[in-house]
Amino acid sequence: MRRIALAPRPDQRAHAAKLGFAFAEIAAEPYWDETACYAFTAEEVDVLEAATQELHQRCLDAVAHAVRNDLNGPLGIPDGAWPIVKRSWERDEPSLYGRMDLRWDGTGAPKLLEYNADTPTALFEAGVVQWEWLETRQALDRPGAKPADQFNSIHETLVATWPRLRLPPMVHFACARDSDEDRGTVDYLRDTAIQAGIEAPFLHMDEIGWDGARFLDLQEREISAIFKLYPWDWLLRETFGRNIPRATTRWIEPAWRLVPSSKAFLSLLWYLFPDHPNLLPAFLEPGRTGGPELSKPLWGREGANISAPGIETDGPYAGQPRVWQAYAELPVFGGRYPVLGSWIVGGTACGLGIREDATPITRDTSRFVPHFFEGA
Amino acid sequence: MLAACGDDEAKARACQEAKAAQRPDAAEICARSTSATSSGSRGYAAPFMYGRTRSSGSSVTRSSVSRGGFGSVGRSSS
Repeated sequence: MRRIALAPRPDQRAHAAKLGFAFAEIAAEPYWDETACYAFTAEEVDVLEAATQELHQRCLDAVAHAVRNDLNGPLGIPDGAWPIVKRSWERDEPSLYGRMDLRWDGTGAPKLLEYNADTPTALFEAGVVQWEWLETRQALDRPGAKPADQFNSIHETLVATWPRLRLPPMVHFACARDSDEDRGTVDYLRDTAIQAGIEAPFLHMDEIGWDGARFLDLQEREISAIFKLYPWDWLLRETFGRNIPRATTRWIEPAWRLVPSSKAFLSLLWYLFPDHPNLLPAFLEPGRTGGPELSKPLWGREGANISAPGIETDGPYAGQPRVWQAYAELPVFGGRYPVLGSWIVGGTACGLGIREDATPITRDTSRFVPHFFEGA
Repeated sequence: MLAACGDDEAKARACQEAKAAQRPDAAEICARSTSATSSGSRGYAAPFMYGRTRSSGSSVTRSSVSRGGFGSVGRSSS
């Protein structure tokens, strides 16, 4: 695993525009960063793929354990929401996707930092933008050479997964307003659904209607199934949350994804699989890992309200219960701290997206950096 | 409710008995019975109910669809 500094393609903005990559810059700062890339060997990609697949299976085991033993309390899931979660699991409602954030430097076992099981983003840039980067970069830099590859079948796996989710012919897609990143992610997923033969209208979350028995779109068509880039922990505390059990709407991600979305899930994993090579010790109390610890709020996101040795980040989640995880500082490559976002789509480990930051905490300002591998 | 049904049944029975006995006031008895029944379900309430159901049915469908019950928190990605 190496970080390689590069001169960016001179026409990178034109490439972004051609792809419809509307959030290559966020708040006038670069988000997509091709001044560097990461290079892996095929053997290293095999390690990442196997770790992700293994962690996925252990996560399913842990969700089953949590549901069977009604562990919603320790997970921070209110009693009122638990029947929705349980019903979703017991109905075997399938998941579309998730992203595991791994700490790895190319040696030893990758470690799970957290699992974005409900509303993961950085999907379009991982599935499409970095693939286009690889193709055009190779044509520029290495004409005639054996092409490098990328750990990335995200797009193909998404298209292949939609028909397996047992959904009606029309699936609505929704996210909150005022985020190009969220909207771009949802529109990309719509595109993959359309390619799979699904009708995929869009609406904003606040446009979802309720007529007393059904969720409706703006044309007053019933929302039979909906992909929402909107966290379950928000859905269930909002006014319409109480209507969810009364409707037959299928939700993607399904409600049981609330379980692995809780950061307390990390402590459950460690409890069930102690000393697992891909896990870091994690507990619901401080001081039990036997070393330096990082603590984070159960329902935090984007690196907010993190506490670690020498680090305190701000954010809106200060009042939440927390989990304490053994602190494994991110490795440093070229003065940057990368997190490896390893994608699971339809139960298959299928791709990698890397975000790096100038600090050890990955925030919403951290940049996406492409990768490739050689030696297959 | 049960009393009302019993009343209707009693009136219908009185009508039948009046017809069977060929009472001269059978028509009047049966008319009371019919109007009592139909005034409840058709003569007054039905047009009003149907009218309200139909007109407010569509307007109720529109106006009873509430929105904005999701989406109050904000940006959601992670």
